Amino acid sequence: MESSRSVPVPSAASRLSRRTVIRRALCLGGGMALGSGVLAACTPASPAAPTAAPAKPTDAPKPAAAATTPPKPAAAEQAPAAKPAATTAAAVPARRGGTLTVGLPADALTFDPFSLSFQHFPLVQNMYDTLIRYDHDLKPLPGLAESWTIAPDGQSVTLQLRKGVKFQSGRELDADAVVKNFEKAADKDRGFNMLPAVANVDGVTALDGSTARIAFKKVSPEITDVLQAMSIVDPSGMDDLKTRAAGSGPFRFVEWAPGDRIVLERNADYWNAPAPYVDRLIYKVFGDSDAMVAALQSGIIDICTSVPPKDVARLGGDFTIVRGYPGALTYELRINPTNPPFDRKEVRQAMQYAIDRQGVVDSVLFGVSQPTVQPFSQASAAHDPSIAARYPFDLNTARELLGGASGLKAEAIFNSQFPELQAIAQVLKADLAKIGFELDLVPLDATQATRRLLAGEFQITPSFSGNTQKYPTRIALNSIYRTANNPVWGDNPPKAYVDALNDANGTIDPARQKEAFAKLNAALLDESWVVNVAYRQSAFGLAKYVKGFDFTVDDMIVLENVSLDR
Amino acid sequence: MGKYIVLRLVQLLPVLLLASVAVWLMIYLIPGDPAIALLGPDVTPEQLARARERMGLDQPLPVQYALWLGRVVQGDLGVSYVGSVPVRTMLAQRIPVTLQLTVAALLVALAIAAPLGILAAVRPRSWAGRLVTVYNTLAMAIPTFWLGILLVLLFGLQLKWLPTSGFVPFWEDPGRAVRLLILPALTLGAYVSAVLARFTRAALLETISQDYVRTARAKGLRERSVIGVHALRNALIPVVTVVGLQFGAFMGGTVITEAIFDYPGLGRMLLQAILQRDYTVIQATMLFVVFTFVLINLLTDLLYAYLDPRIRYA
Repeated sequence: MESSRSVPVPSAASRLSRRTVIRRALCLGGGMALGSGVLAACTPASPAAPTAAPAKPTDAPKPAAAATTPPKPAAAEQAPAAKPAATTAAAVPARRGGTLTVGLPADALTFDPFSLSFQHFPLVQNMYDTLIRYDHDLKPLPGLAESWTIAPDGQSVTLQLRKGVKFQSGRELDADAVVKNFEKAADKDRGFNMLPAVANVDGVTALDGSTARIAFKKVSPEITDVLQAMSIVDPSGMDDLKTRAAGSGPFRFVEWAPGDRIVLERNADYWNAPAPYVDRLIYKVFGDSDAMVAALQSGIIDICTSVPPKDVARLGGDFTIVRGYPGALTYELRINPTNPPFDRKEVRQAMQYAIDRQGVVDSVLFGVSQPTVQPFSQASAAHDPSIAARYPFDLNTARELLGGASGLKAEAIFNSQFPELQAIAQVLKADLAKIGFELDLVPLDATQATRRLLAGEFQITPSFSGNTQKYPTRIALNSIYRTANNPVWGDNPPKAYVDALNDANGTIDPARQKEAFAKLNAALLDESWVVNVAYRQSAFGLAKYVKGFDFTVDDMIVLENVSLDR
Repeated sequence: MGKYIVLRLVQLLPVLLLASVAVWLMIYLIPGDPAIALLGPDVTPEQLARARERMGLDQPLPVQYALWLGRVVQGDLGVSYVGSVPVRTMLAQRIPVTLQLTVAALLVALAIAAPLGILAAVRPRSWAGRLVTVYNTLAMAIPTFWLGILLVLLFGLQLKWLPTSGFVPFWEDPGRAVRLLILPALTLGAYVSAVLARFTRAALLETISQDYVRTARAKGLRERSVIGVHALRNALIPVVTVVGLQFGAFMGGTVITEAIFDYPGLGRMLLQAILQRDYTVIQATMLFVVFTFVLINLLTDLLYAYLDPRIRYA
């Protein structure tokens, strides 16, 4: 069974002619990017890559149901299963053999699963295993840990590791490997994205060969998130991760031709047999998504890992379009509250009213999304449907909040690597112009945009954040939500926000968590230094003969059950 | 002649040194650095500082330049900041790829330009001659990226005759290599074919008005021999020079074509390196491009000096 879903065709009639113009401009922009290869033939740069690693989904996403998912268990928890996670494709007899060619949006540059950028999302899950996995409802499933027991005080977890798992080097997985991986994650030079994720880990002890105990400095409501994020690297290969992988995943590393391809082969010893099904996996590096789409259409690749929203409906007839996890990332406007005119809270709140979220979804994202005023995805425990109407599109209220004064001016920088960010800025600019607010748009390449973002050298910028679907406090891993070294607040973000984060982080009591999440949402909406616009939903394009494709809640691609039914 | 060659080689050194300074300094004018490109938008200031220290980017620019130059003169081009692969290895992988495209593009250009240029020179006022002029104008006016897109749309996506991207070394699979090369070589070769056709036409027009050509005709030689043997051979000397210079330009100037066709050559590597601020890769690639260009210029000068002794005694 494939986890593909039907592709809704965007509404034929645009509500406003401006949107038609933007839509066409976006299409043209994509085409020009293909042509010039200068702006979009881009590299990597990785906006807000979630720190999390893989999970093993078992079904198509169910955001509506997940919206009511209660917070994580409060007390001791015993993992329910001690067998490999069920998969969607496992029930279907899959054809063996063949070579699967997958488009990669940029070169990997590193095979360290702790150093994640967008280009690693199609790769990591297929070379490495994590301690546990999540299904699409965020239900924890066994991974390299067959079972896990969370202590009643929520300050430690004991893992029972799967036996007989071998790394590519032939070394067997043991508790010592888990200890070494946590040491790497906590190392300032080697921890990368995992460093903040393990900040609350006090120590990891190998109790015996296959049992490890992780102790936390204080009560941790994020235990399963940490386990799900933790890919386990072969300790003997940790020094070579810049140029080769060292995992125990379904595919083994064969070669990397920088800038061109990465070749993996089937891991015959994989613990989750009979997977994987294809013999060889080739990742072909592309400079931009338009070129990747063209390669899918001309049969050069079997899977396009990044179908731009403008192409989703067009490709729907000839290819299988699989929608990614709704809300793995959230589009937003980042506002610098220390930079006039946005130092006034009312001006920031005016942006909440002035951004036409539904317009962005319709004309910029071609219907491949949903509008939102909150960062949290619908699966998050902090998602609150009741606040959806808090900031409707209302230019009159926006004008009132601006004090009725026209002549206000600001500059919006954006990363030109992502055409949709420019289009979002254009929607805002057009609407702000109607209420006398002039917005200048300044495109920057990825590196320059990141530099200014980190330095707080901006007034307003469209961007996106990750880690919006797991334990809610994990949004603080995005620089704009940090409580220290925040690019715009420095070490002094709004007190109500910091208090809410601390409350949520300091309890495993569901009632107190719920209360803290409500405070968190209230603080975010009130201070409005991040104006959330819409969820980002990835779209993957598959040749019709590709079966068993799946993805994690982080939109990482899972290929272990893929077979080629040519 | 030997003294002339030594003199020119000595003159080459300051040119390369100046080029290295220019290449090196220009990179630092672009805001952002490889640490930011590598670590992304959620890196902490502490992590950024440590990465910069590890990369040596915290040192003063003159120190960085001196260290780099010291390594380069010993043949060490450094290691990519972003990919951690020796730059020499990266260049060694990419140069043959771009070379294959360059040769294919020049062959395409010559195959188009030679007959068109001759036709336009031999029958300047015929409809065929006028068509050649139209072709030349169009081929020179259409931007390379636009032609590339049209070729991808028509032959790759509509007709599905040819692949739109990829690379295979010619010696591994000649048939597939040719199929993969046709579209990028056409894209790259179209403009040059127009330039070469115009050069051929102009040179041939001038040559066929020479006395020795008239003499050849007076001797009763067939027109094919007059043009093909006597006139064309002399007319092609400036054309060969243009081909040589174009060869040098292609080795470093196929960025757009390589990006359109996702061709893993020097141009795409350079573009990626610029976007990632991968200083060592940019510096080494630019140095290679400059060196290739200067070398081909030198070879051209030497060829001229060999053909015309007045130049080497001047």
